[in-house]
Amino acid sequence: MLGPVSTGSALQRTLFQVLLHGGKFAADRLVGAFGGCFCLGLVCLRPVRWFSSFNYSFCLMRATLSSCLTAHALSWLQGCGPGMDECEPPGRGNSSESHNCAKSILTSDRLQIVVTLSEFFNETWEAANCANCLKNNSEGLSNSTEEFLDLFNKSLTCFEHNLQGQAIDLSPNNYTEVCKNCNETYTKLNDLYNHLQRINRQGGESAHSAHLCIDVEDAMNITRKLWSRTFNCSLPCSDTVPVIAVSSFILFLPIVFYLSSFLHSKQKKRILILPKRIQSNANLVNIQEKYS
Amino acid sequence: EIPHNEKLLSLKYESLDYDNSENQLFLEEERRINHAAFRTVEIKRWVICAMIGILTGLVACFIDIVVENLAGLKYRVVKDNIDKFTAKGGLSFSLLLWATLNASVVMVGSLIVAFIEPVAAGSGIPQIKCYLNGVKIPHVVRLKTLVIKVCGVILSVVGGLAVGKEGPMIHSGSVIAAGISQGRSTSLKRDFKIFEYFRRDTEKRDFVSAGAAAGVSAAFGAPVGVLTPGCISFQFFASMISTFTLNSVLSVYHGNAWDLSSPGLINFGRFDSEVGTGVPHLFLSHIPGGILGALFNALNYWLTMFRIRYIHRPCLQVVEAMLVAAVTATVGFVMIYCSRDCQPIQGSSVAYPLQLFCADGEYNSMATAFFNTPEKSVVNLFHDPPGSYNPMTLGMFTLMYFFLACWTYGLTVSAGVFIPSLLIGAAWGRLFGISLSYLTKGSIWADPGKYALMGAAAQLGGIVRMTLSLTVIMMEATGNVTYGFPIMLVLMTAKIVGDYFVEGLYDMHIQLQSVPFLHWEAPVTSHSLTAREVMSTPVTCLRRIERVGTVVDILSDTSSNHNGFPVVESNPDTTQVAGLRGLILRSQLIVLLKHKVFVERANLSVVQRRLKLKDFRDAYPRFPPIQSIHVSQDERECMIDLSEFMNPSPYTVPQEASLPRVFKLFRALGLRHLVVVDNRNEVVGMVTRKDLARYRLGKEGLEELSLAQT
Repeated sequence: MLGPVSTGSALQRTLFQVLLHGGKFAADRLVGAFGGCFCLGLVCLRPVRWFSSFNYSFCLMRATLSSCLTAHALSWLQGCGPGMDECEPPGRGNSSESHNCAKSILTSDRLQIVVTLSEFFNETWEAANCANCLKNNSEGLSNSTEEFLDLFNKSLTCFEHNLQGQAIDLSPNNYTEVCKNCNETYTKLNDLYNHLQRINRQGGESAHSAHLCIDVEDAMNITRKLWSRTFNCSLPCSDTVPVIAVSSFILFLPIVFYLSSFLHSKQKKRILILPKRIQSNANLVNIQEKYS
Repeated sequence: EIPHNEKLLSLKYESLDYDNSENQLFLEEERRINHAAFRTVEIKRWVICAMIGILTGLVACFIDIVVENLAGLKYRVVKDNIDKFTAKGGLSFSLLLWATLNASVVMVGSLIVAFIEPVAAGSGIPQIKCYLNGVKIPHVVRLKTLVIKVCGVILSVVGGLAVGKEGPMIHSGSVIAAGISQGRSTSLKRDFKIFEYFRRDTEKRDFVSAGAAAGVSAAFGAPVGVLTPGCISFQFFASMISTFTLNSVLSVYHGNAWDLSSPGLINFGRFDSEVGTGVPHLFLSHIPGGILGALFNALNYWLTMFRIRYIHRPCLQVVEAMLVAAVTATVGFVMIYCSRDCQPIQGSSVAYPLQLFCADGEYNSMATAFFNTPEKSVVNLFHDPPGSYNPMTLGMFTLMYFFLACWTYGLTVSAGVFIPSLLIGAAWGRLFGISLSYLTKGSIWADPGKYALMGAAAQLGGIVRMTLSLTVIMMEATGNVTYGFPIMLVLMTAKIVGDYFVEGLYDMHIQLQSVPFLHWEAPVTSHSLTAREVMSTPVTCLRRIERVGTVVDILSDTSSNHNGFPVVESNPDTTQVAGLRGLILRSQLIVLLKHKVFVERANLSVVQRRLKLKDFRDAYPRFPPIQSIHVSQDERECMIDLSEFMNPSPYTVPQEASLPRVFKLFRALGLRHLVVVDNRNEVVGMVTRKDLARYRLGKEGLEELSLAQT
């Protein structure tokens, strides 16, 4: 299984591979494309237009699919009998026959590729926290996500606009135009992102929902990398001198304290008590021998 | 008059008395008690242990929750301030704010300790060690001490000092045990009239050891942690209940009841079973552990000596604590400011990520080390994947924290030293692992987290020098028995290496406080010393039927503060031998004087209630001083008969007995007074703890300590 989802593009690449190979394998059991959708296990997929360099469409793709599911009925269990023509996950139907039919198809090969793939998709959905981007009934993007994507698009267009005539990786200097003009948009985007994060953290109690959905995070990461690393628009370091002054003052105080207590405090003296006991010479000799 | 040094014994420490005075009253009580009552006593013991466990767990929960909330609040305030000023400039204000916050919180914590209850200072482990050894440290198990300790430890940790909150749990557990087992509170002046049987030093000691064990288990989630002298089953029972209570309450608090994932105040996290292919190299950390531990102890020794000699006024101690807090904040801030190590935000392992001068989406990794509680930093060092730490950052952090922790221990605040040592050790252990894999060009010999664990064990062993208990604690805290053997080897070697230079931290502090601590055995080369040379002489004896006036004068004598008096035969003919008849204690005499149990009064048929053992137990442990007992001139001429109340068979030792024999008898039986007699059963001297503790095996052989008034 994949580890934690890192960037959108890696995810897309992997998914595509899975689609290619897994799909071929399972195709002889499953009905193919209908209206642009095709079933892969329990998931209907419709290829979405991949964006040029910012591939963040895992959640969006999956979201489109639920509408794909409801809109298109697929003869998923062809060969199992009449009336069984919906792409349903096993167990969701109300007739046990469809359940058993589905089960027999899904578990009939050694690798159980269909079950594995559908588990993978579900796990990745959970790990990516896709539910965060969508409205409550999973019927589309939520308002905040739409707002964020809107700002994101604006920032990208601003970057492109200010970099016209300049290739990004070639000349590593002179991004001052970009920094100046796009600063406002970028700051708004950053603030919105932090705001979303804060709301999300307050709303959720467990670590499960500690992240925003992966598409939003990816988009923000990419923008931030561009802004800080490539364009180098971050803040410079400032006011070293007052910090040094204050810290040296504070570090100097204990020295003053210890010196003054050494010089002025009266040293704690102990009064020896002479014990009442019989001093025998043998005893004294014994101990003195050890000392000499 | 001499300046303070470590070769002194203080007169202010008395012994606890574990010897039962089997006088007539005791025999009467035993005749009256029936077997059923004995069984209830047994059941009561288990009930008390359970209550000790529950209360200790609850106190630990309280500390944990309050520290989490208050520390979180402080970090949020500082972080918001830094974030605000990063953009605008003026970060020196953030530094001032952080330093001031730290200093003010620690000021409160230090004030309550220095002015209200000085015995609550430090981690409490040396004090409890002495108590279980049989030394009566004044105020060590009082309710006031518990309150001050708990508040003090909360304030120290929130104040950002380089301290841990686990050590003080042992002290708290002991106080809870001592309090509950007596069934009353002298401070609150309420007597619940239960558990009266247990109002004795012996029983109290057993419960205190159970309480200490419960405290250890609450702190580390290690039920079979510290095995102290006393009944082991009670300790185990109390520890299990304590860790279970802590676990359940914290799980409920964090919102997932029955999760039961926090058995102690610190959890090391799950360590997997493969100890690693680099097992031989895991053992490389013991020698630096021992050496660094010895260095820590030596530095702390000089610092503590300086503090005892020159910083003995409470206001100076408070000022010192405030300065340390401010400097800790400054050091942290400067290191965060200068660090250019930025890591991308990943996961929720960082509670308060500080961006400072990093790019958006990254945080300053030095800030994680300083803004996290030390417990979390230790766990991160154990479990973060390889490559999470920049060696330079880690190295600087280790160095600074080592000196800060060394400076902080010994301040007049309630604070422990376990977690700082673990953190220092984990940091250099991890550094060691990282450099090892770097030197061998990437062939990773073991996960650096495991090196961090071994380093932490080595450093802790090098500082406190407890081998067996620490092995068990760390083995349980890692949750994996396969780590037991490597940890044990590391700890033992660290102890051997460290002992070559200087002794353990707690033992060192016990010596510096001039406590008459008795080890298990007498110093080895002391067979040539006899009881005659060790004893104190002449002894103040009382006759069996003694004049009240003489008794009052002897008790009121301020030049010598005796607590036990041999009782000799009283015959009018002074040429006859006055043999030893018994031993009577000051506390018993005071109760007798208070109730005016005089011979003449018994003769006049004044209706007088006969004194019972209960009257003696009621006055325990804070017997009134002799000055509060008023004896009129007429009463001074009365006679008092000690036969019923004295211990008729005190332990004695002939004057030719060697020091090790006397020592063994004294120590094994937990005596407070041992009478030295000659061949005619005449009293020639008395041996007390101070007489025996004088002899110590020093660097050059047997040495004798002097007594001093402190």
